Amino acid sequence: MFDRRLIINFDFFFLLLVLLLSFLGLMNLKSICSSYSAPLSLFYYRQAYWLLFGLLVLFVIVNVNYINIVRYAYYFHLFSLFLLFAVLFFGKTKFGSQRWLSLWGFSLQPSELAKITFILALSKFFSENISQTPYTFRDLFFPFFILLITFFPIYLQPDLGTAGIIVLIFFSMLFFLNISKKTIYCFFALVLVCLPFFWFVLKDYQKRRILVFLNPELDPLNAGYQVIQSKIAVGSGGFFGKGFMLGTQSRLRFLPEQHTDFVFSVWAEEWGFIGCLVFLLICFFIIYRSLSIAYNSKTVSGTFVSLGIAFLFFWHFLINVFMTLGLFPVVGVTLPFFSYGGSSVITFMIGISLLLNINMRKFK
Amino acid sequence: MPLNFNENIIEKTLNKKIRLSVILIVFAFFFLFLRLWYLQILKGSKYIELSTNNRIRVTKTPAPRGIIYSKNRDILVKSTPSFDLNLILQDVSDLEKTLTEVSGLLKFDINDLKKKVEKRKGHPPFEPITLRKELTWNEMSLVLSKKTDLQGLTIDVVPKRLYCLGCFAPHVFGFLGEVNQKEIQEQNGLDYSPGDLVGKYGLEKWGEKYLRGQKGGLQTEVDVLGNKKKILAEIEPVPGKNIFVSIDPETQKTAENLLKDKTGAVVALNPQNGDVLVLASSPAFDSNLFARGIKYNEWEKLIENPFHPLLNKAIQCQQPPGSVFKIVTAIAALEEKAVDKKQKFFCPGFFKLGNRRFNCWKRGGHGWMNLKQALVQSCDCFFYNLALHLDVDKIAYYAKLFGFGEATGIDLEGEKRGLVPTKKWKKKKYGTPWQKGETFNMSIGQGFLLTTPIQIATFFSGIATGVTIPKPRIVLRIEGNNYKKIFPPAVLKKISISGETLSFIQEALVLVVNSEKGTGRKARLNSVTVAGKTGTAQVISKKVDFEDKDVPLRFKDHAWFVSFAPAEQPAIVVAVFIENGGSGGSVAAPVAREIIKKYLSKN
Repeated sequence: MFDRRLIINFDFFFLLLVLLLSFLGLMNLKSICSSYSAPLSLFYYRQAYWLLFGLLVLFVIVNVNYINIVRYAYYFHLFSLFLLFAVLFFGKTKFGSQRWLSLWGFSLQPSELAKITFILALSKFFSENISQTPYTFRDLFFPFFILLITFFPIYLQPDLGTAGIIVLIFFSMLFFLNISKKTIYCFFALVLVCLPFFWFVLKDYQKRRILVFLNPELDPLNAGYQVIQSKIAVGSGGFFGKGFMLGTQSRLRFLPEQHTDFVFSVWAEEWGFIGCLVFLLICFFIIYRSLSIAYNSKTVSGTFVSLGIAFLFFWHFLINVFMTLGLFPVVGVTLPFFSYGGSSVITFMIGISLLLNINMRKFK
Repeated sequence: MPLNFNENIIEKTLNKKIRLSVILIVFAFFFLFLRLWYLQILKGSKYIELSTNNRIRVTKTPAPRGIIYSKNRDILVKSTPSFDLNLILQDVSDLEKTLTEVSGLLKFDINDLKKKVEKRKGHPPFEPITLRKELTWNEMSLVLSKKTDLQGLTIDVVPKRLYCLGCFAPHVFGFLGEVNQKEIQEQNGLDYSPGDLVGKYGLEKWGEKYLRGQKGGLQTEVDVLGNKKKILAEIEPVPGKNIFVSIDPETQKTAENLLKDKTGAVVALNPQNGDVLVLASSPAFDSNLFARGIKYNEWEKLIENPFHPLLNKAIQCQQPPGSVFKIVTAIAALEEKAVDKKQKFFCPGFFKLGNRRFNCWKRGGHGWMNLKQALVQSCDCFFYNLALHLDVDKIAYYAKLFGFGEATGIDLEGEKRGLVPTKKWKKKKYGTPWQKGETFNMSIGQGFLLTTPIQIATFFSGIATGVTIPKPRIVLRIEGNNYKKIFPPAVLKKISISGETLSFIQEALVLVVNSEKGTGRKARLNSVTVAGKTGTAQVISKKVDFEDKDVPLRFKDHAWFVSFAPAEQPAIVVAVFIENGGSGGSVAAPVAREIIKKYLSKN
């Protein structure tokens, strides 16, 4: 019964690369934790457990043909949406935003899971409605509807980082469709017309938030300070870095949110330019491999799922690293396999498992 | 769904775009590579220098808290600068030496200083540790003269709350306290961080969101000694908004002096608009004790005082109103036509219901009385006779008409509602039916009935004006930069009883003070006609006649007196409550007289 080709096509090298990245991330977390006392110093163990659990999830998903997964994609996404709306009503509030659901003693962040089901749902739609003629507005009504209904509950939490990622993934996937030129021009015109109108609707504090979002210098005591300290951390790493567990910026707590948003600063400080290069190469290969899996997939749905996941990784890597290097405003976007967080780890593991899954079945 | 890709145009365009996206991604990563090269290789030495002794600091600048003014713009509560001695660990090379020098220079206990530093272990080294709050001028000049030798020490200006009149209306203004974890999490749109002082009581708490400004901050580069070298960015703090209150400082002071050595409360209102002129509770405390965080032994003293200085007795003390309530019973009887104004009852000094004996306060009896005489001389027997013909729920209905049993909604937290018993209430609470004898008690303001001094004052405002009961207001308006909020007078209740009944009651109340046999004689003033009503609430029912001096203090009666003046054109209502003071006519009435005299002499 069992198809030997599944084993032959299982991309062990890709999985090893991911495990290597996870290991480096875990090491980095250990360094961060070592400067804290009791409850905080435990993230590192918890992250290890999450990674192991993520691997378990990975081996389960790999055994289910992705075509069947895509078949029920709408239901999966409906479930995600249900959780997203549940968060708005029953969620736990931390640091002024409501993102977590308490389930059986765990804090679940549904917006993480939603990214995957969002990609699956879009892939299902695009693969079933693909045609030779270019897409027009009318054809794209449903995907836009999915985008809006996913975007708003996340935006309202508020979790601008994840909401932005959702939009980026959406347009990244649209890029691969054959859309009529007229529709593209119309769309850009519409966006341009609407922008000033939105500005009027916004309240003062929201306007201010957007301005700070665009220019952290306006908020020099919080976001601006964080960026400066992060840049000092990265820059002071120099060529060889300060060494494992020897980063002064992180040990003296100049870095904010070291274990989530600013993990890369700690890495860059301790491992220097060499360490960053290794990191960038691993990340690049993960994305490159995801795209090649998309390229080689024998089904359109497989191609779109792989593309979506490739861009999920790409945007996460890019925005997080840009942020720590002072090239992008401070938003809460995690660094895959480096940032602490159970929901985030599981989400990226599911992403990897889908890629392996599609790759295994390319000869069917 | 699977497509044969090799011959498909779709596949071709898709694959073309995937190849294109690989190129774009290579570009993005190359850009990251360049940026890292720039930061770590080209600018590396600069950042290494910046990080070896991180010299960029963010400090918050506290915002001055709003001022509390009286109606006439006298400053009652304000903020003044105080100076704290702080230590920044990161700037200290030899901690032992620095601490020894500080303790030698300022005569501080070195172990105390060490303990303070020890306590902050685990915090980032750039966070200041406060070694001493509120330096004196002498201490400050000593530190400043040696500043260059003292590494890592800074003197920071911190605003301190000053209650200008000292121990003055603490129950109105309240006090500040260190913000707790719950308040930090709730935030309420205000920027709290640990150690901040926030309003915990009185107006300071009620007006927290107005009084508190917005913190500013500085991003600075400092030199090796921790001195500010260059300001990189600055945000100015926004001062808090100012509150104007109705309290009349002189009259308030008079009331507080009269209450000294007594336990109790005084509330004075302007019956026309509800302005709270006096709100005093005794024993009091000095809000200044809390100005920069209260010391433990001071706090203990307040907590352990058996007379509860932290309790605002004017709004939180619930007691039976005693004979003051006879006004309500009389109104109920007149409105329900249960009694005629001319009808007389005989008072032998007691009233027998079955085999129960209800005493009048005057053991010898009042003889024949009509309603007006019964009010003036506060004859209990007469009201027992009325109670015979009145249903308890009817009395409760009229009591509620005047605001008994519900909070007045004054701008202070923790107000109690009091209690107006009904048949339904008793059934629910005790499971037993209402007894006729309990109506007797209620008719003279005893038994289950509970009121607060502020309720008595608002009730009397209604009696005085005869039109409405105003909602008591302390805060008149709030002003700030480009901000103004006015709190107009508000109506709590409309009075809906006949004018005839009202003027009858008002006439009787004038006689309480101004006739020979009136119980409120001691409130009489020559210059102005005072109207009022005494009340003496029993703490325990006395089976035998004690001589007053034999009764232990805690069993002595509570004294009430409530009055308005001038009777023709009421300008002030004063309610006086003295806990375990004795009889209302002898203890509380003189207090009310002095307050009325003071207030009317200047207005």
